[in-house]
Amino acid sequence: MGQVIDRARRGISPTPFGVAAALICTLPVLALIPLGVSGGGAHMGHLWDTQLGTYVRNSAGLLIITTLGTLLLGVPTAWLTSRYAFPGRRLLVVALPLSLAMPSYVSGYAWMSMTAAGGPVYSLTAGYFPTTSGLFGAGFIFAISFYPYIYLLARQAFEYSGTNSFEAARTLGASPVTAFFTVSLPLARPAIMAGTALVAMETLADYGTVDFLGTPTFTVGILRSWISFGDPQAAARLALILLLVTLVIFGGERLARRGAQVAESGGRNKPQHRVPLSGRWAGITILICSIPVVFGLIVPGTHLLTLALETQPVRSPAAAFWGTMTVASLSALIAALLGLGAAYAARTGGWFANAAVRAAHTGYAVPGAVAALGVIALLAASQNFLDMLSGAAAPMVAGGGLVALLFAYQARFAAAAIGPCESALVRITPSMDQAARSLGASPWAVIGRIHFPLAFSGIATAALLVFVEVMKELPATMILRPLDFETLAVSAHHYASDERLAQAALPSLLLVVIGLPIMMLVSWLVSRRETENAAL
Amino acid sequence: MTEIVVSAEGLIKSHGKRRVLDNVNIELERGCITAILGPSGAGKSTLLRVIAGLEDVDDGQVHGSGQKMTDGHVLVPPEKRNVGLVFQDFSLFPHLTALDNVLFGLRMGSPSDRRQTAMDRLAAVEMDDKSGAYPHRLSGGEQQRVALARALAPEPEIVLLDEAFSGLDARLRSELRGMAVAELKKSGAAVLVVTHDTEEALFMADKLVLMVDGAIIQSGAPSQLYLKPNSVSAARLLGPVNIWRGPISNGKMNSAFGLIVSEREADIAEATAMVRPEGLIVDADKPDGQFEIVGSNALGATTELQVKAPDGLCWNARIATATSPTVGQMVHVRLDPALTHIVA
Repeated sequence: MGQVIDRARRGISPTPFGVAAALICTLPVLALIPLGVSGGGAHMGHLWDTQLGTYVRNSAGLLIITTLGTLLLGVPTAWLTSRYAFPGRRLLVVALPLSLAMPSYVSGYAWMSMTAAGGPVYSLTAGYFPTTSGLFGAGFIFAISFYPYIYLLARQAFEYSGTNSFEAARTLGASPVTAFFTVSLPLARPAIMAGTALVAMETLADYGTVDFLGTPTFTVGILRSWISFGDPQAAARLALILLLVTLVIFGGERLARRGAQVAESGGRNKPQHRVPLSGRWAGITILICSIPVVFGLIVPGTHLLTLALETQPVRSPAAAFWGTMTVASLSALIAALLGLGAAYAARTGGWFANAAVRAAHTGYAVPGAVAALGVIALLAASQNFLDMLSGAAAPMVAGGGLVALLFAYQARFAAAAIGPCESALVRITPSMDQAARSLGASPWAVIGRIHFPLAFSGIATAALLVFVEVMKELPATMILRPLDFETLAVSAHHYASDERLAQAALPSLLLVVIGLPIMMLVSWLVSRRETENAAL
Repeated sequence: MTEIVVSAEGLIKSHGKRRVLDNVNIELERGCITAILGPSGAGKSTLLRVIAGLEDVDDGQVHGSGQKMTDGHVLVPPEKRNVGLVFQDFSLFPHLTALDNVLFGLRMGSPSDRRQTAMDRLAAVEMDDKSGAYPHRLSGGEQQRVALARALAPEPEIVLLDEAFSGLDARLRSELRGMAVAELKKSGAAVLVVTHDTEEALFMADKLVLMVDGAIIQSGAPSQLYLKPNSVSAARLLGPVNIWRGPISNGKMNSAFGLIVSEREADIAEATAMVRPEGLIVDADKPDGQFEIVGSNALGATTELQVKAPDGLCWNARIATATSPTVGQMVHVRLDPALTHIVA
């Protein structure tokens, strides 16, 4: 019996999937290295003298401001919504992550347009609300855009570490504040650090916001070197520096978390006992928890909507819309397949497949601009190789077109699909197979009636997340897109860079309108899975 | 001479339409273990949490240490109540070692004194050799010992145990119960144990409180409650019982299994008699028995028998396995008056 199951499973070995995922995620980055260290790069010297200092200063400043801002918005909201009961709590729990549906550059356009002279916020506050621009403007935009990473992870940690630890601390003589700082916060620290690392990576990977608000960081440098100066070597060097910084953050977080592993297992979990709040305290809590959503989603969204309604578009957004839908859905599909294969590999394929999948995971730390340049480097290298083989100019592969773009998206986002797929597979235990088989189901019926329904929501979550990420992606698309190919993100960025914010409103709004229901669906899928898991 | 450490009066609390606490009064005495037994959802844990100061009530007060601690709202926060709480899921702090968990509640004295106290506490529950281990390295039973040591370390006046042993397997449970009772007695604290496990309640309690649907239905000494329950639901909480309903005339009830003598003389048209299974005295040696053994389940030392009366009524009996008759045998049955009890 057991052997039959094993054979049915082993029919396709999962290892190649793990290796494929690892290759897709790592090859472009590896290809950058020879390009970066090769000769040429005349622009680099100039860059070194003039811009590099600015990039470093801006990146460091943004990292500090964004981290502090997201912690300030994310941790208290996570604590309040998991520990207390107050009117509107459920709504806020669902609403708080939705700011992720608003790409940070879109938020940047909206806030800039609102706070510049003549904008509604400017007139409302008589100009006292500072215009959103520069280092602090970009930091503000990042904080209201990226806080959900911290909120989501911290909230999960607070829910899991449970009320009991907090209450045990209280009965042992700790005041609520002491109990929070000595017990609840240390228990949530690994999760909060993981969230902070994500925020830092997003901050460094961003191109649209920092370019628009005049706070150039490495990504801006990479795109300028590539697009304006046509200097791939300089771009590759900047990309390698950026990659190094990102990997240090990523690795540091991993390392710190390994030390804190002990904090992840506790007793069994009971349903949360939330302390009811009423009157003034409920009011203050609602206010604190609404601020991030109001600033991150509602206010900029409303402004974009009015702007879009007032403005006659100069060009139909249809082409950009279909462009976005095409690349986003293709990428989602490919990523789900790769993620599923890699997750299977990690589960059943032994150490080699496992190591490959871990390597693929690192792909998430690769900024879009770096992935895109890596794909170009890879294609150029293969072109050289082909030319050498044929002795003459081989058919062009270096342009690459849409395929190259899709490749770059996978290099960056396939890793995002592995996690949800893995957690989907974890739910399927061997005893379920055995139970189904003993009840008369064939191996195929087991896959169709047990594995697929159980894994579906996880795979769907993975695909939807990748869809939203690709839709929002700007720098990789800017670098790799074929000339006649538009996406909503690119078209919004073009209008915004030309100071035609009113024209940028419609494509920006479309991004939010597509992203919002998908984010809601994702959070519904995740919460449904949690309820089901709790029942196990 | 008993000293009331904490008392609760008229506690009322509802979750939506459901009453979780229905006019509950309870007193905890120094050096005395009070156990609350009831089915899950009876409001036991809520009562414990109210006494700990972790939850408000809709109405009622909690008094202790000469002051009012809860009057509807929590007046004295949990950290000022001098209570020790042991949870069902242990709730050790996973980021602290066993020793640091015990040290958490110790605030008086020099660091070395506190350390010594904590080590002594761990030694008392035979966990001193694992003081440096993190909770996830400990087994369930070990975690619970540390949790007990942690709760007792600050020498609380009140110790509350919330289903503290139900997360453990049966053998470990009985082993830990013995240790816990010894430690709790030694501490001299007023102890409240909340459980849905009858055996645990009977084993640990000096005073037993039965709770159903948010209300206390009976309280007293465990053996008193077992032998003289005031209602069928109280009787059933403490173990299986055979029921006979009928009139009392001349101080007697004429059941299918024999006469049951009432303590009162008055005639009552409809009363309820409860007979514990071990109250059926089965005699298989005498010939011409009128009662048939229709079922038999060996439970180890004792065997549970289903006995059928001539009129077809079936009751349960429990007798020593060594002398148990077999299925199909005809036997004589009489009732042990000590194990029969009538309520009107």
